[in-house]
Amino acid sequence: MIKITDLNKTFGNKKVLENLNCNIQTGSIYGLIGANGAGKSTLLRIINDVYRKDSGSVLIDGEEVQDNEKLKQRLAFLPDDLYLIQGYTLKDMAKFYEAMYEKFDMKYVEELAGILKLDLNTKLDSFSKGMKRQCALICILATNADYMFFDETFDGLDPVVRNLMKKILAKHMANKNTTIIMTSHNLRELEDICDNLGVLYKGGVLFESDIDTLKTNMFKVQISFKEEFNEEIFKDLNPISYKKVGSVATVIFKDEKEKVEEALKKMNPVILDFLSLTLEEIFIYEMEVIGYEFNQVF
Amino acid sequence: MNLIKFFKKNYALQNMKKSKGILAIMLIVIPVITTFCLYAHDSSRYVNPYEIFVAGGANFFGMIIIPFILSNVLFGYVYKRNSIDFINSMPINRKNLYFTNIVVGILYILILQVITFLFASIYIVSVGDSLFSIKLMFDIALAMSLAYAFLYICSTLALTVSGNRFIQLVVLIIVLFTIPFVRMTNLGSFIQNSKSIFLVNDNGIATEHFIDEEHVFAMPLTTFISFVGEDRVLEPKSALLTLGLAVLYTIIGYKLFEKRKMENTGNSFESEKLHLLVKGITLYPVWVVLYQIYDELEIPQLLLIMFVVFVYYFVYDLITIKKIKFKTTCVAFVVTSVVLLLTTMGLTKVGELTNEQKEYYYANEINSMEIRLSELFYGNMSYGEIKDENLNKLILSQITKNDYTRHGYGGSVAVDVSKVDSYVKNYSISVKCNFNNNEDIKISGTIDKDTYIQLLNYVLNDEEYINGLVEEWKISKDAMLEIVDGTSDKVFVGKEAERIKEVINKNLHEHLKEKISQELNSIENGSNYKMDYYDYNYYAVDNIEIYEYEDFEVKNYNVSFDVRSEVAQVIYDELNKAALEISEEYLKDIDGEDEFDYRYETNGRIARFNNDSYVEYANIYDADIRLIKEYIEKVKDIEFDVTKEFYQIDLYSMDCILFVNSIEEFERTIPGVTKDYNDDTYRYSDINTDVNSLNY
Repeated sequence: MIKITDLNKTFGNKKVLENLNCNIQTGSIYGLIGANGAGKSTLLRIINDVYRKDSGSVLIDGEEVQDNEKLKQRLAFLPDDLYLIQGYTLKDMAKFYEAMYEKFDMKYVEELAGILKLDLNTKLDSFSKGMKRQCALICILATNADYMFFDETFDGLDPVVRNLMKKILAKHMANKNTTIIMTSHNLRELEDICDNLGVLYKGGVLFESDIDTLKTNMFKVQISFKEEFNEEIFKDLNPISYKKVGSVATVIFKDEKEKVEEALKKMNPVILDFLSLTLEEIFIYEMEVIGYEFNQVF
Repeated sequence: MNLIKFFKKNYALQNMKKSKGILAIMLIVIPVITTFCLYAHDSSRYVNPYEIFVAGGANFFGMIIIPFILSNVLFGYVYKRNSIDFINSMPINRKNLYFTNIVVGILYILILQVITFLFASIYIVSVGDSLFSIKLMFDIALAMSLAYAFLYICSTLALTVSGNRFIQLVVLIIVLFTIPFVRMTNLGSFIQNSKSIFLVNDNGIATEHFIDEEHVFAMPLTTFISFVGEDRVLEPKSALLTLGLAVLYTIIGYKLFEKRKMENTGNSFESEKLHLLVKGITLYPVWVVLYQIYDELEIPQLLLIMFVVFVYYFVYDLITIKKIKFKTTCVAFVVTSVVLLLTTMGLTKVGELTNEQKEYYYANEINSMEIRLSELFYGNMSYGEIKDENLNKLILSQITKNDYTRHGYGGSVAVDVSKVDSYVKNYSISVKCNFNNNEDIKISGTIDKDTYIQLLNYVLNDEEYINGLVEEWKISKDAMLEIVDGTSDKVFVGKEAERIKEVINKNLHEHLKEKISQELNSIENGSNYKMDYYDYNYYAVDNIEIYEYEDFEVKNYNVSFDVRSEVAQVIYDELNKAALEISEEYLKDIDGEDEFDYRYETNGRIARFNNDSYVEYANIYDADIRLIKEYIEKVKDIEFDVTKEFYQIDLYSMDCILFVNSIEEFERTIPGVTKDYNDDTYRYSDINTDVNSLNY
């Protein structure tokens, strides 16, 4: 488990992280979303001991990460801006990681390279941006680290490769019980792979929750009655959003679906449709609940 | 601190592999160029070992550039965000990262020097150069390793606080040179490594002596200084200081690296104040120079320089932080200009006060005296105590007698006159005097031939010393005695004679070569070998120098011979001819009609003006050039006889020496000189002559 408490970091006079608190459970895929400059990359760099924190604590399984070589054997970080050593092949890069990580699996590199059709002995300089990213991802996965951090990893990949990489990632996680933390400024990138999401805004975590709970407990209803009606008739069910176009109202509830369904049916509606919300819609409404505009945060 | 514990082999190997290209080039270039230069140099003549570096240049140049490159190859990842992410997220902590890279860097330096040494050894074995021994090359490798390693550690220290390579270079220069520069420019000179003291004899007469002064600097600087004039490959005190600083800088570097804010990439420093401070320090040398010359500058020139400095403030920011803050920069310019001016003035004042403090030592407070025997004979460089009290007194009386007479223009260095008893040079000796307060002062002076012979006899009776020489030179005692007492006429033949001739030719002034070589040919063909030669400073000396390398330095053994008068006459005639040619050129523009005004400047110099316009500034313009011109006109056709008593007139402002048999004409033409000359001394009371009391 990663437990971050009151984490602060400033760059010059600019506060990048301010009293950040966050808990990431072991064995999950945690998505960290936020606009550019929200502090996502800085947070990952501090967790991985790339940057020094100003104050606060970052504990991984109860241990402080700073200068902790033993703990860092269990962490692997893939930053947004890749560093590939000039003139190196995938095999050379893998050997670098192999020299540094005790549990590095060279066979796994060969296996994944085969799946992704990457030549181990071709110089990385001649690879496309997407291929380079795949190579870096392979090396990170082969470290067999318990915690893996991916910063904007899927950015710039074509949909086919993105899906393939997500599959590899999910499989790896399932097989090895790895905890994966990934960042993106794009909600759609993460919604189909993450278990938990945290929203970073102005250096702090605005809120965090697991996606299943979010999706299950928040839903959209399209409803209509014979007689005229307004928002008042739903007030006992605490809707978080209400819109009416013509005689059909679209209402969003955050509650147990069965309970809401039963209550609505008792009102004898002529139309009653339950619709799923996209993650983006969920966030828009969640932001509104806590007093933020979605566009302001992203 | 256990470095092995912090050394991560896997990371070291990967880091070396990552940079193998540039490191391989580095390991090949220096040895190859050095070896090429060794083969290319003229092995028949003496070469200062430092010329090996410069001759080649590769190792010397490499000493400056390679450590900087090396620190950037191994630590340079800190300047790029993606490489910082890559390296710092690896399972290695900063302490191990730092010390592993330090060890790898030093390892590379050692490999580089070992390869260079091996290449040079092949040269020595194949060519068989007598001076360039394996030992010399080994010592050079040792010295260079230390210098390279120290610079590497300094470069790394600079890197730990810098946000880009330009700033790293600036910080490196500041780390290396700030303190020596302050000492050199404001607090005295370190190049000469000597200071002036006055030794006062029983009659109250003070003679000025220059004694060695300890100015110990770290390796790169001592290497430069040694290149300028010394023959030492490795100065033990400097080496120790270098080692000490290397350890200190390594620890400081580690502390800074551990705390380094890795997000500071591309900028100069994280702190703007530090940025402004460093920018200000880079201008310190400019202010020092400006302070020295401001009185010689016109207002427009001064304004132009200030404008250039002002522009520099912005250019520096453009290079280092890639943005300009106009208001901040203007304020910084004003503040740092004031601070630097005050600093320069303050340090210069401290330096002046320090230098003005004259140190006096009194002959009657000397407990014991030791003579540096190597000044007299071959070999042994140590000092030997002279227990003969009368001989001590005799030596002391001669080294406290000053033949040089300076006229009364406030410590002039424009014209000096000295009396020369004989064309045979006085014998130079070094005396270590132990005073009542237990202080040892090493004084150099000259003794005449009679005293020399007395001293010689004293030493020749010292069995221990002679036996030491016999052991050292591996020759028979009789042969040694013949050599050291100067009575033997030794004949040099074959390669040895050729080498001596080369030494002489090397040191001859160009226009003297032809005439002297005729004399040399006659000498070479004769059965008795007597020899003299000139060095390029025109001073006639009566010895041949033989060089041998040991104990980190090239030792210079003087072989003294009597000078044949015919040779000396040719030499002195040529010197006079050259002096007249030089003075004629110098004096041709002097208009005797001009009226000159003199002004004593606050910086201790004298400026000379005429009524119309500025004519000339000089360091100390103490003699009216017109008088010197008049004197030269009078004496230029008078013949000079080297076998008679004669006088040496040093015309410093013209950089030449004139030899005359009679001084009367000089006294008549330039009367200021004769006043002190009659006393034949440089009196204690005259030392503080005030320039304002001078009578032009």
